[in-house]
Amino acid sequence: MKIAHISDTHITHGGSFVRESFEQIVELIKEEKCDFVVHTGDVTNTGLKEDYELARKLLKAVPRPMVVLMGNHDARNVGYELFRYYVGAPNGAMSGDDYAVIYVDSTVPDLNDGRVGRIKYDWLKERLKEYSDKPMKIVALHHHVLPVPSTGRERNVLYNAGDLLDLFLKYDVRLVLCGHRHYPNVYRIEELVVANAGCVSCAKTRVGDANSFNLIEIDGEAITVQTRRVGRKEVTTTYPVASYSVFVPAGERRARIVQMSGTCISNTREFNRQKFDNAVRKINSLKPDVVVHCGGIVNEGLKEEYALASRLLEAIAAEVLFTPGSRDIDYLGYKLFPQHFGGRQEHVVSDLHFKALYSAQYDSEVGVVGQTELDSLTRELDAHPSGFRCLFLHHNLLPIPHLREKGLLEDCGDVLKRFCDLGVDLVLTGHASHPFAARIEDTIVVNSNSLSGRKQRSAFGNSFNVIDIYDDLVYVSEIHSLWGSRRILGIWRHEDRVRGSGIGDGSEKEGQTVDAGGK
Amino acid sequence: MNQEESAMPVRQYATKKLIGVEGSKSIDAACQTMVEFGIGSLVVMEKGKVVGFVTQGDIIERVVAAGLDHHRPVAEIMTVELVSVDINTAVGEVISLMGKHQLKYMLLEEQGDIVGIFTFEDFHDPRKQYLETDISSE
Repeated sequence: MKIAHISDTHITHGGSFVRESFEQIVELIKEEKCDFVVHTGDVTNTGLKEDYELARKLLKAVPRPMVVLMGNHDARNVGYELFRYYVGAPNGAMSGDDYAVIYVDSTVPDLNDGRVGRIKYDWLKERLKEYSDKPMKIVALHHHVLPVPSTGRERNVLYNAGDLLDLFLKYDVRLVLCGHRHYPNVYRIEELVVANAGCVSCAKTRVGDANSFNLIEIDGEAITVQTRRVGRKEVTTTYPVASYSVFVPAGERRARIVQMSGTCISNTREFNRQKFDNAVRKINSLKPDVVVHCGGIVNEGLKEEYALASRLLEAIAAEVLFTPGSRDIDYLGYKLFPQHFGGRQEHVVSDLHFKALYSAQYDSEVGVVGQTELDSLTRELDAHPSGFRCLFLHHNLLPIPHLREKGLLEDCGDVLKRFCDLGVDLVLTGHASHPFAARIEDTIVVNSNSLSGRKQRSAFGNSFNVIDIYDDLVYVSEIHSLWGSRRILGIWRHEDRVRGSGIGDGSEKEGQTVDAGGK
Repeated sequence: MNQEESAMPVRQYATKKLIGVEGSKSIDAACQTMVEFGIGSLVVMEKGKVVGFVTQGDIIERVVAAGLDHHRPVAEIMTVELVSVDINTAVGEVISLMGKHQLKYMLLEEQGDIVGIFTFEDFHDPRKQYLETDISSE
């Protein structure tokens, strides 16, 4: 199966519409003889009638069948009404013998932000149920599900990106197509390939990039995404279509890490002392090599809370590493955190290297790593490429289910991409009070729930995570703070995958075929 | 579970990463794997294929209570007649089948391969959490 994935044509009279790029890309698509074309939105630049009329005329040249989604620009000026007339239904599905493409509108009138609201979410779930038996399930939407690099500040991520990502993974969706950010990027998260298309014909590209589209080929063995830029060489990424896995452990355990966050220690009912005490007893019985606290140590950054936290956390027998969350640096917390918990920390266990990143900002749920820190980290990791490298910070890198996506780093797109490119083995985060674990490219990202805070989001209850590193695999489980019951969050084999996804990360990879798989 | 939930494919609730043991490994080794990973069952593999299933209950019944040598291969005590359903089966139907066969788990298959497992634990009841919250607040 061959799919032309185009996006962000931004058709308008004059302005930022680059008609030459549009025509060149249409010719390239015609030559490829694709099975179908998916346009992931922002067909027009303004959503005005004049733009829609021009778009209808120009899009006639694009080979059919074609699925066209509405983007935030199309919805402007009540363009969402015109879209139905000039383009068609904003939600729908198309299927063949072994595939289904489900497309869903993610726009919010007059906002650049995205959302797949409750009714559409249920509709999407129904479609996934209907097509559950199709081996190749594809979902298309305008807004990005995962942070996209080289696009500046992270914004307009889908309001409920975490719920959608969770749904896609549960239903074994194999390919998600997005646009919106005007920069081509492809990631594999678990067995799901998430492809963002660049912009076909808008002058507003990123970092001097050219207009582009993605050509996607799928066979029984692999999903190959080729980014075709106007006037430049293509960049290709291939991911094998992995089957489900049975893991037969064969190696020794090299290290055990306990990950926690949201202890929320205080003398208020926000802190559940019994859950804390039970969890500490369980942690000590597990005999971890190191404990990583990803922030939310105290409920508020007050002196008496820090004094209590210092005393209570001393009960943990293993070495504990800390990074602060936003609440930890509130009030006097910015001074108390380094006094009580030593500020930034690094640690080495066997050949495992741990490093804290400080992502919290005053009075903000949004975190930041920053370009300077990212460059410094890059130099450091480049200088020590061997061993198992674990970074930990408070804010999440991936969208988390059951909350409005607001805890991501503001520079998440670049941070995530850099971590993946550097081949960081493990990233631990502790925002959002909900557990989540997934491997994106070669990097395993694990978020922990609140250990003993009253406010948490998981139906499983307050918990902490145990991450066991074996010679041959990584095993992550969640332990209930009160009962000590356990459930699996993820298992991954140490991979022989080739690092790097090969898109947009330097000219040296252009024109290569990068095999990023190998399960 | 309401009618809408019970019609959803079991795929949504399944654990799709399974831990296994080679059939030639000893019962001891299988027990150690269960303890190490904090799990109560293992799929048994031979030549890359799932050939059986073994649970803690099987070991208590077929090894400890029966006085069997625990150095014997786990393949000797595994359940070979696997009860499985297609991963697209409605979860309500899967639960009915589990009741009918008196199973605490159901193996799930897709295109001929075992690809996951469904247990009651996967269908967590939020009421349990309310109870936990009440208990820990007292």
